[in-house]
Amino acid sequence: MRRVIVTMVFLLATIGIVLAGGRQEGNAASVGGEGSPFTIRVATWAVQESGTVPYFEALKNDFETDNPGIEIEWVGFPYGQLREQVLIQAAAGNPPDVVQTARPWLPDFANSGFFQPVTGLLSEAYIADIYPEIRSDLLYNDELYAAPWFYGPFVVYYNADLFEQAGLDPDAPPTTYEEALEAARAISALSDSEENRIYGLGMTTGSVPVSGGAVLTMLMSFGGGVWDEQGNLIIDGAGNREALAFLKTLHAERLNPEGALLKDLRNLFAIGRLGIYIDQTWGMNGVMAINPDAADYARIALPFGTENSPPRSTLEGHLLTIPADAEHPEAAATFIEYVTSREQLAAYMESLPFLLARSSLGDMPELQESIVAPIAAGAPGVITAVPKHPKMTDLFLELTKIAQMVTIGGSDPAEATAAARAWADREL
Amino acid sequence: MVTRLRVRDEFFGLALILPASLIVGALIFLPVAQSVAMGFVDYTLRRNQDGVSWNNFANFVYLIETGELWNSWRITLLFVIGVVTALIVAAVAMAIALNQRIPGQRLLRSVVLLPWVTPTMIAALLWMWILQPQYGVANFLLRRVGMIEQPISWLASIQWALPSVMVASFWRQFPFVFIVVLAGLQSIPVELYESAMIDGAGFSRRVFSITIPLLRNVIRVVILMSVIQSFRQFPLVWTMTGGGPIDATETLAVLSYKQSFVNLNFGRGSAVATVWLVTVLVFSVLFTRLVRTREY
Repeated sequence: MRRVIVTMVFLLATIGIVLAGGRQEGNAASVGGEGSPFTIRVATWAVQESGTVPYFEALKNDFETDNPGIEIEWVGFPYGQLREQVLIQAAAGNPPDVVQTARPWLPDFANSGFFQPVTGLLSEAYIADIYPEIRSDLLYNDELYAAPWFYGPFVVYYNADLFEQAGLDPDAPPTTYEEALEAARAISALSDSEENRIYGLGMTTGSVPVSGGAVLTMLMSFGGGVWDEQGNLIIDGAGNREALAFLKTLHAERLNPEGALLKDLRNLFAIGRLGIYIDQTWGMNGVMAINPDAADYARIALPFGTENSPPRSTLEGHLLTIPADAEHPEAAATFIEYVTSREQLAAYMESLPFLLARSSLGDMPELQESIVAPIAAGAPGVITAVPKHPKMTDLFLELTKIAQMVTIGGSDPAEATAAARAWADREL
Repeated sequence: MVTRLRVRDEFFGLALILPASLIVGALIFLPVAQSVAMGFVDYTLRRNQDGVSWNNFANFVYLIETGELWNSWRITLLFVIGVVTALIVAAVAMAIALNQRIPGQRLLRSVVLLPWVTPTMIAALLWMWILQPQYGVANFLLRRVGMIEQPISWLASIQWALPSVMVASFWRQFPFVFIVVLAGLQSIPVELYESAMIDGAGFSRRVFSITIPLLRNVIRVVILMSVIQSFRQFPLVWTMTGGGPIDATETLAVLSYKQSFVNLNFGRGSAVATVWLVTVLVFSVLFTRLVRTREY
């Protein structure tokens, strides 16, 4: 009898396990009928960053006060994991309602089909207010797939004190790569008080996608890139070879810290051992976190062009997207318009330097007082739309690889571009 | 009557193990089987994906033709062999040293365990700081003692990136291997050493004729566990180098992750994982057959 009871208990446990394997149907906490309170889930990496935590706490309070019945649940992931985690949640049929999205992820999201256009969800006036250069970069199949939270091109940050020590004019920074090379040589002749080397020009080439964006920005500014305007591959073109030859020179003369990630460049800039470097506008936050006094010597400029080509940059931005299976898409759109309102952006700008993606916000006093003010007017003009190829992240990693080939690998630029072409013919 | 009882016993036994078997099957074997199956189809992460079909080994052919699979397999083997060899030699040496009566023995044993309690991600970030070329402590110390003149870009150098990650992996795994070997060492009867000393055996003779043979079974288990641990070492490598520079640290784990979660091509990612799985299985079977447990 005892055995029978034990056997029955184990069989019941087995049945329980089998039945428990069902799919989750909806978010119990957020299900409600019309007019019932509900919760929108916002996936973000920024909510985990210590510098912006107070802003996000205030944002949640403000939004819930101004929108009774809608609560916010932050779904925090580290930056490096958010893209994968959101796609997995979407594939499992349980995506968040709003996703903070780095610009390089947009092609993956749009191509995956797990995200929906925001065109019909955001107001027409709101969409029309976005700078055309930025709006065109966020289109996929002629539909707008993301709202820009804020943006920036890749910019040049330089150390005004080192400029003066090197006999350069800090009020007339280089505007071309040729001028930047001369400035870098002058700065690299300096050393700090402990006789440590000072690097002239920092270009990130580390094995991460964001470095690929920086490399692409450089390639485009030399007249190169991946595709021409007709969509033909130009990855092995003259512009790219010229850009890689420039990078090779930087490396050969030890003007650039080799294989650096952006955070390495920010750290070196913060401790006064880097004269000029290319970064996203909000990268200055990383510098200030290490050395708040960097505000005294840090200056900003638009990205370099060359003597034959104007400055160009990929769009670097924090975007907001809405998954196709979002439970509350309208509320998600309400959140997006709220978080990108003048008041909220002004509050966020206190903890992060960025540019505003809508023309009606250009007169904000907070923008005029920010470190990015000198480039605000010219920035939209350097943004260059890049096709939304589904292998964009892989492409960015491939671009870091060709940059590494000509620097630490010692390859010839033509050899590197030929390897890139072979890869592109196979993959793109 | 006896047969009926035996059948009831067997039924009772099966009922007892059924829930656990279902859990293990659902959580381990099913995903592994699904992953292997995905290696033979075109499968990218897309909504409303059309049905998947057999692709005639296209994922494997791609990985072989591009050379990615061979490169990653070679790097993984180098990584595993290097780390495990260093681990076993160092752990046995350290365990023998810390098994003696020396001052600070307990403190040293505790300190050795510190890397074990450090999360892998933190360990990766820590080693990135140590190995940072411009302001990292490794270059600072090496320059101070005159071993190098120019800073070495440990993680950005084709020559040094893999050894650097191996050092970090060694540091992370060492405490576990050490503690298991030390436990094995302490189970060896002291009388054996005493009688060997009476017979005039020196230190090295005692180590090679008593310690190592009697640690054989422990070392066997530790090698197997370290090999498996090193084969699946992903977060350390991915965080420290991302598989670079120029694929110099792209292990099978990194390649599988890149194909699956960077390219969102789960078919190719699963193909890599299948090769990875087969490699570990073949090693485990060969190793357990060739290096058999001995009774003493």
